[in-house]
Amino acid sequence: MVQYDLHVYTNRSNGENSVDEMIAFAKKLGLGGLGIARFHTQERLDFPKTDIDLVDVVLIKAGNDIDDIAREVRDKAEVIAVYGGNYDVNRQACESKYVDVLFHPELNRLDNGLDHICVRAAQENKTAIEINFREILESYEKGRARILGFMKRNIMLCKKYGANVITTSSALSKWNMRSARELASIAYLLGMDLGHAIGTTSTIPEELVRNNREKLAGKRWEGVYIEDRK
Amino acid sequence: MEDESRPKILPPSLRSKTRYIVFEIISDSPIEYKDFIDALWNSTTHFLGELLTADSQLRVLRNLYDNKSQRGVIKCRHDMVEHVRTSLSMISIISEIRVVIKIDGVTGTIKSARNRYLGMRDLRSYK
Repeated sequence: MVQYDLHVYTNRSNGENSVDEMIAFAKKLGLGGLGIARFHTQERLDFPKTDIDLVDVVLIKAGNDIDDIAREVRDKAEVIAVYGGNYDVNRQACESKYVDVLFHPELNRLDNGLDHICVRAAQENKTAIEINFREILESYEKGRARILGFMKRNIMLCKKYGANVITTSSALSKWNMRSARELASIAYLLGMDLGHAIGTTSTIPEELVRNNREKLAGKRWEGVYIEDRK
Repeated sequence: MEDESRPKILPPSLRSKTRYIVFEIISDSPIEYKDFIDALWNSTTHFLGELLTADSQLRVLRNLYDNKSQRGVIKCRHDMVEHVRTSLSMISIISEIRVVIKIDGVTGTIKSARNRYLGMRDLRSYK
């Protein structure tokens, strides 16, 4: 079981550290996979050869036409994520079959950013909802309590409708990164069962990445999977 | 002081079960033990609140802390391990130095924490 953190930034996008520094720190923390985010307007990065599984995460930050942009970049990206925070964007991301993850739906909001309609659509389209660790880490007292409350409500909705949840560090620097087990413990404290909480950093991202790679390699279509026979 | 009367040690059935969390402080500069303790209590009381911090029966084992490798052991109640783990992950700065607290493992006894994670093998364990 590989442990993933599907949302980190490097100095080629918003981040502070280089790809090599992030990889070295991820190894120190025992991570097996790292999702390196870039904006959809940026070109794909060349990753160095390493024993850590590096995933190209394309982040769509747009106010509208999420589905169209996601369809355009689908053939080039291993994981497509949408920068949430706006209810309309959150809903479009949940209703799009091309989007894999919705990042921080509760960002800069006075509510949790999702309702039962969004979460039901996310479950149907297999869009995962993110628990963003940096949002908790960089907030204090009243703000942190509010964010934790919103995340708890989102997890309650995801549990109710069976939508996937992933936990990420959303690290802008290597010092924001945490090991997968510690990220999972946050999901546990926010209301998930321990097994499912551990799955948010291991089995769910692992399956997501594997399925998308098979689709990119032409091995998997909707409802069809070609098995290699020896 | 020694002849002062003290309560008897509770029988095992009345004691709460404990776990030992082995942690490592990752930082660019060395961190003082006292500064870490202050950061730990600050983080737990802020994140968990005073009531849950009291429930967790948190204690850092001073004699097992190694200043060189910056590793140590925290004792807590067995059902509060995840709470303590999260509180530790909330520590990002100690005395203006950026840090990450990495948890190496959780054990049921001090002996296994020493043997498995701190490399303090008892001579009697070698055959």
